[in-house]
Amino acid sequence: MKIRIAALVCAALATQPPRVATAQNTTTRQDSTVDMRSILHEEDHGGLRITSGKTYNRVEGLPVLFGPTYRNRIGSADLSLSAFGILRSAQAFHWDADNIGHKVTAELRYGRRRGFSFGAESFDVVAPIEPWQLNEPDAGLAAFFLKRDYFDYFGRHGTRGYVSAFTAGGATITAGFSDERWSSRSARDVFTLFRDNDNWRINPQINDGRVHVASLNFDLDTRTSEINPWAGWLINANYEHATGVTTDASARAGTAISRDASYGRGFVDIRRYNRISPKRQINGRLVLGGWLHGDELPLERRFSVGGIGTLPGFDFRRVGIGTDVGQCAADNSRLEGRPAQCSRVALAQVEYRHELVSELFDVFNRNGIRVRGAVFRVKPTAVVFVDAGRGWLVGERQGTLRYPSGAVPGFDTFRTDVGGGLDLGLLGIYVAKAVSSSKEPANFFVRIRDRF
Amino acid sequence: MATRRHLALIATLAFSAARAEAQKPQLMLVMPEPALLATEPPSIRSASLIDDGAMLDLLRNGFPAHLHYKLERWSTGGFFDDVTAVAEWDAVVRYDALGKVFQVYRVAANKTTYLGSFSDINLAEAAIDAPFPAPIRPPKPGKKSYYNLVLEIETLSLTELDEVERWLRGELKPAVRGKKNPGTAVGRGVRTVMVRLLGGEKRRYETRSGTFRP
Repeated sequence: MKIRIAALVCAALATQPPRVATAQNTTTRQDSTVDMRSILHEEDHGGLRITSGKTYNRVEGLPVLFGPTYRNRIGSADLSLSAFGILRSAQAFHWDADNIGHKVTAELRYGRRRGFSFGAESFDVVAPIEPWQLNEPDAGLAAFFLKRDYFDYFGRHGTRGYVSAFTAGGATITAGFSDERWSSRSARDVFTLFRDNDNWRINPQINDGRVHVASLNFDLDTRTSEINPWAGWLINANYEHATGVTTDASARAGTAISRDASYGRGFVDIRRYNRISPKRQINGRLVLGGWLHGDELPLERRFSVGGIGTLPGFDFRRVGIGTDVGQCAADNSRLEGRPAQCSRVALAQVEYRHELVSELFDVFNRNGIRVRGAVFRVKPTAVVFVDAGRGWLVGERQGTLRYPSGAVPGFDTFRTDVGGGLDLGLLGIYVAKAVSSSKEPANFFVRIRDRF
Repeated sequence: MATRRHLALIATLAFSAARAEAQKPQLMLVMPEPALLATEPPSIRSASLIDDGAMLDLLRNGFPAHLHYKLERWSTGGFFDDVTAVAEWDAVVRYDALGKVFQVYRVAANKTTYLGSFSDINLAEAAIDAPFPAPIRPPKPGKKSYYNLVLEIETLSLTELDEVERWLRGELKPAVRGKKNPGTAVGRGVRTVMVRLLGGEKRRYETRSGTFRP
């Protein structure tokens, strides 16, 4: 059974969605009558599709999505439909309610370079609580190989409608409304390549309930490339207002979540990539998120910092080094699985990258490094970085853990680290050392592609 | 005798290195004469992009190769460098199994140019490699600039279902039937994961010019 699961994981986790080629306006040349659009997928109307959820975790294992897709042009609009069933590999693909789900989407899109779209979706999925912290495939690989899961998860079951407007400059604004049921999920028997006899970290309980969520989302992507961008902005800003009824998890959480919950939550993740010479870069990232108004946030909408995605100088979910500004757990309310409990969070990351003389590595590059027929070339870049961040609770001032709504903690209370490493193009090897807690040992870690 | 052996070893190493250099995929930006930097764009040349065994195998099995070029002109001089012009174009190579020829096309400015049909992959490679004036505006006189070229090569139609089928057919099935060591099949699968996650299904080449002031 392990072989079967590993086979599906290996084949499906690694796959990428097909890419449609584009050609910008350039100078015209003598043309033939051959139409290449058919080769470039323009006439692909869809079909039966099997795909992975592009994740691997202790709750689902590998989610396998299968079902029909359809896309076509209707008048001036592009129609896309998909109806995926989801079967999860946890418990050896056991057929039970926790292992099956669905994701059905319909979207009508007007305009190619700029325009608007609207759509609807129905879903029964498992979602990470803080997806902003770490990109895939880092998280999935850590779970699959090392039994280290850097996310917590909860179940989302409901429907959503949205309208969206987009520009040629890479900006998209989306307004949506959903009716969702949120539920706690437990870690299950999920295959890992190593440490199979170890236990998974507990997936924490959340505030279960049914909510209506109105959201406004803004995305801007002006990067020169999605992989190894040299310049540009990547911005994600989100506001959500939710009303609903959540179960009373306050006894477990040590917080006062009311049964009728109504809250406002904001989040912004700003990344800027700057080229300062043909071989050098300075990149920065600022993340701000938290409670804005109304009742306290339910556990599944709270925040934390710490670990390789945010503050790599500190172990993931580290406690016991003074006030817990990582997860915001009071001393008497440590929950199983150490969930994120912060009402607000702030994180800043800055890195300097310097492409090194690659002749040093040309002994490897001459024929490339071959793995199963694929050729890789080493393109070394030295990376130096600094990170600072913390979370806090909102309320009456209490030490350095809780602050009034209009206050911001002093910078001297932030967790800070410094580090460096070598990005080889395929992956990066780094070391980070906590500065604000000098007794913390240095952490070595590996990241696929860039840190952010 | 020892000296002769050393000489033979050196000659063998030199020959191997020269042969490896000749087979190494290359992507080059050929700049115009200094006096023409403000009026003429650079030309793109290449070598050994699609004629290796793995790519040839994919082509012959019906997977067209898609080469996507992205040329950026950057201005420098301030604290940050800026992208001041971008041009993108594509080339496609596909194998016509009936005619047993490789067909080569270039797609630029939303129009397609047929570059020819070739019975030999080396001739198709030559069509791709021939100097091509990049469709990009040169910088204004006095503007300190450099060009950055990225080429991504991927095989089209390699959908996820194709990949699963290929992998099951090629790697796992013999193991399930007991004809191969299952552990080896899993190991190969793990390596496949790494290859795909690291971007091995898409070859990426990057080169840039030196900084110049027309």
